[in-house]
Amino acid sequence: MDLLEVKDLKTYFYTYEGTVKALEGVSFSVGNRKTMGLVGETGCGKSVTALSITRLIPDPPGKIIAGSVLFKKKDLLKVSDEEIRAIRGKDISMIFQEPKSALNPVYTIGDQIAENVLLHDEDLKNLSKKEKKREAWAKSIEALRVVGIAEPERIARSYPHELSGGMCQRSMIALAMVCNPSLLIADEPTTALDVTIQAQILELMKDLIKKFDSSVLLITHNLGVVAETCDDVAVMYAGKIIEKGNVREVFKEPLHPYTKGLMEAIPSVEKRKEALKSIPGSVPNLINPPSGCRFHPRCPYVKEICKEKEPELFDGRVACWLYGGAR
Amino acid sequence: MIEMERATTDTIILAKDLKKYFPVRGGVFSRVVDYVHAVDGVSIDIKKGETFGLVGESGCGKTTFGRTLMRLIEPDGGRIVFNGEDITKIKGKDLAEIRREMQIVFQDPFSSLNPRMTIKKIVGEPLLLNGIKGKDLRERVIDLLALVGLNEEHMNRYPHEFSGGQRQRLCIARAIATNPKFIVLDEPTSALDVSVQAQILNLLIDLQNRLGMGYLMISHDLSVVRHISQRVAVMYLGKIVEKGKTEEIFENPLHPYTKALLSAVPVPDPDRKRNRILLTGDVPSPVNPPSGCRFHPRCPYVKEICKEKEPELKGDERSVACWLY
Ligand SMILES: Nc1ncnc2c1ncn2[C@@H]1O[C@H](COP(=O)(O)OP(=O)(O)OP(=O)(O)O)[C@@H](O)[C@H]1O
Ligand SMILES: Nc1ncnc2c1ncn2[C@@H]1O[C@H](COP(=O)(O)OP(=O)(O)OP(=O)(O)O)[C@@H](O)[C@H]1O
Ligand code: SF4
Ligand SMILES: [Mg+2]
Ligand SMILES: [Mg+2]
Repeated sequence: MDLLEVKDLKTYFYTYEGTVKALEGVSFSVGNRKTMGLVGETGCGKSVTALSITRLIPDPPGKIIAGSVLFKKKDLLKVSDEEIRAIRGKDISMIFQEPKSALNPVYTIGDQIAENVLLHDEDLKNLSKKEKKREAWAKSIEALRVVGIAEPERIARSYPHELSGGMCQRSMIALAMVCNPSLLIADEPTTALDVTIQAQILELMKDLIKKFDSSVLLITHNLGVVAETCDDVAVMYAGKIIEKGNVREVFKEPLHPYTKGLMEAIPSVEKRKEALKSIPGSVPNLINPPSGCRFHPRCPYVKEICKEKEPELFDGRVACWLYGGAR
Repeated sequence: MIEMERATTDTIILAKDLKKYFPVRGGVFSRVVDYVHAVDGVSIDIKKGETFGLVGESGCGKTTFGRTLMRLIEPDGGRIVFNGEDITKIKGKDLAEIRREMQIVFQDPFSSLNPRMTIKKIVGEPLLLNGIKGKDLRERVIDLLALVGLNEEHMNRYPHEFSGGQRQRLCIARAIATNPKFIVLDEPTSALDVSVQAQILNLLIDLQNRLGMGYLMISHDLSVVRHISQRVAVMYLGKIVEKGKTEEIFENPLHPYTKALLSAVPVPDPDRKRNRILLTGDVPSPVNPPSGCRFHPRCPYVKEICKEKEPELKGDERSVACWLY
């Protein structure tokens, strides 16, 4: 059985304008010691997926209305608040998308990391209070050093507003990785990092997997990063997974018209393209999503059936009428 | 003035030897014990209708430079000339006037949006300041939202009700609302999928072609920089180490740091194995930068002179600060 199995997850937000159906039946699993990439259009529900797994959806206006999240055979949607709090930060930890706003502005970086160590680190159990504090501080400095922060002692005593975007992001990563979680959910962890530090951080995640048998759910818009680090990938569109598979499979032969469009829009460092292609049409409205296949208003291959009936994930690989059912 | 001479009429903004140091406090009395040399003598000029790319290591001072250029942070040295006028020291009403002609898209969209304002207010605010009201205001806001791929139904929502990429596009809509002459784009597409990114980049290019705005494009995504900018500068620890036409920098990088950077870009092909130049050695401190060339402790080609003497940024169109050249 896989470390994490998400089944038929549905999360809605009840707003003044109507119900935002952010997740409409999302299922996937992350195997042991595997890195799973989650990609997709902005606003399609990737962060909401991550927040639903860890039960951090703000309620109100949000609600997980159906589905299950099996982690180490336990349904996280059913455990008590206390239990989920104990799991967060230790067994499952999360790197949030906007690090500057995820860090607490009134505590120093070092205090925030040390706090997490004090809460969750088993090694510290038998120490005196004073020793605990000293040890936790030492661990946070070390955690900052491994994410490539120069002068970790000085930075540990700084506040988030005194750091650059990438330094905040690395502090967030240090905070998430300091307790060697079994599952790391990383939501756009390298957007503020230059490519050399990005490579270093991705190496660090691989180490985590190797040394502690962990697994990673990696949410990113950077398809280069997915190609280089993930084993499997799932592509989301408007609250649903529309394509899934082994990274090589999906990158070599993307099947879904949305995935194809995405691949064609990637700018290249090696050659300047004349004009960048983008997928025509606009991001669908999640209050009144399109009927049938949600991509149909923008799809170049649309057929009659696409407008009427929703395609299932055929062979667990692609949700598109071009590949299954009545052809 | 010498600076003014270099500012030809087609220059929109020019920085000469710009410096920004942040105090580091320590000890029992929280006295200033040292300084972070965040921006340490940076000179660039951006032409009307030009996109100037700024890349470099995380924490090397790009955001600080962009903010100082807009006078959102007070410079500690150097000068800034905007549209032919020295704005280094202007204050009050004059500064407010100039600010209307410059905009910035901040790196962290969430913390730059007022959480208690609806989208209509956020995007409409700069328009209101320019005297646009009532029905016109509403229509212009809807237009702007449509330009960045959002719609009318989003108008009454608050920032926290959006995804990261949607918030980023709100910031872009706000920045272009009043057709400013110059925009600092600090990682403007980092939260966007590549298709929406393409749409936004095309929009920015299109606006520039029509209105002749100048852009300073700060980004870690080198393929984006390559696509959108005409010239590029590479920063390392508060200084520019290489500068030139985009094509030349990407085709033939000279500075060892630029080479390492370009070699590390991940490519969207699972079968390609790249020859990454790994940078060894500790990341240096901006408080006590290394002697000589600031890159020398990590440089694979380091020579004796590199440790002792700082190389100057040499050359005009294409310049590089390295003892190898
Ligand atoms: N608190 C909220 N109230 C109402 N709608 C919300 C709320 N939070 C998220 N949404 C909506 O849910 C949808 C999914 O958002 P989510 O943050 O998961 O997107 P995402 O895939 O992470 O996008 P990005 O790549 O831009 O970060 C979006 O359309 C967003 O507007
Ligand atoms: N308000 C502040 N007080 C003290 N130090 C600061 C402050 N703002 C920035 N710094 C420091 O200045 C240096 C440059 O920061 P800056 O934000 O300009 O980097 P950057 O190049 O934009 O990096 P990134 O790519 O990570 O966003 C960093 O060492 C940072 O810690
Ligand atoms: S199901 Fe139809 S509309 Fe949807 S992606 Fe496939 S061909 Fe296009
Ligand atoms: Mg997100
Ligand atoms: Mg920055």
